[in-house]
Amino acid sequence: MDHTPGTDSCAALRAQVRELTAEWRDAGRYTPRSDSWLRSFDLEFSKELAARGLIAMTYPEEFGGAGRTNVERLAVTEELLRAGAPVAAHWIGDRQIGPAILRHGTRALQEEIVPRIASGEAVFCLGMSEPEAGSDLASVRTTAERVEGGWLVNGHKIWTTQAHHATHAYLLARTSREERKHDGLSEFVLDMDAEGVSVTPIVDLAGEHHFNEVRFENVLVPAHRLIGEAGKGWKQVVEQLSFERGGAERALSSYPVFVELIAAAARDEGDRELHALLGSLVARLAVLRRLCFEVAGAMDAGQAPVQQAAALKFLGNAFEHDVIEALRRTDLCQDPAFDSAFGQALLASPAFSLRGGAAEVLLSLIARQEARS
Amino acid sequence: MSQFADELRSLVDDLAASGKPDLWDSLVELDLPRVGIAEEEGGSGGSLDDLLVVVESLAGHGIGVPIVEASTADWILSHAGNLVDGLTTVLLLDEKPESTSGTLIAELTAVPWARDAARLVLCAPGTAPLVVDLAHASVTVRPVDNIAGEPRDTVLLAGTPVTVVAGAPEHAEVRERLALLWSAAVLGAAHGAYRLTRTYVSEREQFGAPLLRIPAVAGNLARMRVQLVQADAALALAREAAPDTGAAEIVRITTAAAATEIAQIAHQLHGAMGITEEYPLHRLTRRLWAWRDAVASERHWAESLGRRAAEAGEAGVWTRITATAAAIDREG
Repeated sequence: MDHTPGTDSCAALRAQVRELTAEWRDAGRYTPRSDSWLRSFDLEFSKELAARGLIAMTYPEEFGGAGRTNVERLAVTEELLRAGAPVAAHWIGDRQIGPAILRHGTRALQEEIVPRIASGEAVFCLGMSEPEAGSDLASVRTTAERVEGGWLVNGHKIWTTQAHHATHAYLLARTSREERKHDGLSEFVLDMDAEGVSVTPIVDLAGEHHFNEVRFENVLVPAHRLIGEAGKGWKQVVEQLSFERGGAERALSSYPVFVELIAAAARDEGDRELHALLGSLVARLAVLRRLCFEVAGAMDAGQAPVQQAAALKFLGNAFEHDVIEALRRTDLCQDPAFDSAFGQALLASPAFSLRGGAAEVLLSLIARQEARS
Repeated sequence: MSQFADELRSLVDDLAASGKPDLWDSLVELDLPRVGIAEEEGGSGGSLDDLLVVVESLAGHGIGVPIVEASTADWILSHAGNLVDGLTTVLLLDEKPESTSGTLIAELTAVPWARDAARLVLCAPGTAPLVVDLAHASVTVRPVDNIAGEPRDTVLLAGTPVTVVAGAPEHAEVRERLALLWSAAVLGAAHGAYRLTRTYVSEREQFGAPLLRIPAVAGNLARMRVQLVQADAALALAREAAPDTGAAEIVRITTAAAATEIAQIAHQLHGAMGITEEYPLHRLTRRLWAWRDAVASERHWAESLGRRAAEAGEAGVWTRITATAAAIDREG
């Protein structure tokens, strides 16, 4: 199994992304920034990518995809993150909702939603966390009750990134009360403009609005919008988390700072300490990328590499933090400006090791698997 | 990946289980130090990948034998078609030694296994490898042990004759091969320390339950696992990488960092039991501490990689770590 990128197709894809991002950047159409996959929202850019077949790359062609591998997709996503490009509009839908619907959804649901993710029209937010269910995701209280023609949803989600821009929401809800709280959960797709959906902003510590609270009051969801089997949502969501945790965005959120660090090390030729620090970070980055490609390769082989993805996310988030800290060894952090690469990354950094599973929870997940093995 | 991996592993496991005191002789009898050298050159055939499996497996049992040195020295000598019986060891030098009319005057430090070796191969930049006959009357060997209790002797050469190994790999290639072999050794010992620790915390009971039930203990065991995942990936990357792409630095830095954290956690989770001579943990952790900086320290590799990264700039770094050799050729 060849995990190394740089096959002809990957090289061509990389070149295509580099050209496009350079063109947009040089024309002043976007400014590179840390955490761009959550914070830089530009529907036009996402549609441009879609038009070039750079979204939904792994989906079958009949649903608007390109029928490519996860390894090829990774070549594209990491180039986009490297460029700090505005990819938040399509990121979540492309990364995990399309694949989840393709794996578990009905034909009707696939036909309705997947092509719209592929074209950049459908913008997804992720209705997982709740005020009482963060790391303990199985404790969700939002309910979906079976009614004539579908489901009636009531509840409350929080930390829902880009909900204020989203056309659709993925929703994890309880459809029955069972002995085990992991049973009786189901996954849905719902329209954000449906009757009874309301969105309230949550401003983060950097003064930015990307989080939201979302409330559902008697929202009617059509029957075919259930993903997979009612009550079996937990197994599906765990599988989905390997898509969510195993990507390059778990290592490259602070990449713009890494760029500055390399430049600083070049200016400071005599700073051996800084060179050693940079060397360690380069090594970590190279290995993280290798892990990303191993996870992508496993997905291509039809697996859901849960432990590997969790380890990757744990290591990647630590790397993202350490890159930012490393910049403090240079003169670039003397009174850094609020919107400097350093300032932006630092203020975004507390979220790195929380979203997609807090570091402690990932460790306990890995520990449970170790105890069993 | 080595196609003989399972076979080689179980061979080493059986040898380790036999508890023979003269394990090195058994390894030599089986021709294992010459895995990765072509049969027509006097080797056992197989590839460097196969040799890495042997090194990693031996290290996993906490066995200290001159497998890295002997296999590397023999690999160098095989290029000149002069493989001979007996132990040959190898030393990397930073600078070309001053030789006059085929003899050397030098004080060499930290020469691995010199007291047990018949010959020493010296590799320095800008010169073909040189062979020293350690049995020569002009040679003095002063025994010094590293923290794992393995020979890292001082060798005094007083006008000792040296012969040039013609057509052999030069310093940079030997350095990369040693980097890969030492990384495999560190990785093996790290896995060994992990296995021992996991067994211990699963069986040792305190407060009426196995230690593993304590969340902090479980979390620390998971940290060890995460380090192993990272180090395994680094070795896989380095095995496939083209020469001089920084992969040698990457794998040495990654395995050294993993060794540091794993040794520390292994001792912490073992409590006082792990500090006794009788208990086997120190055979692994002392080797982790010694081997993580063998030949060149983690700091040295990191500085070298960082300097190269600064010179290459972001685009150079990115290209190098995202491309195969072929793509580098295409993109300059």
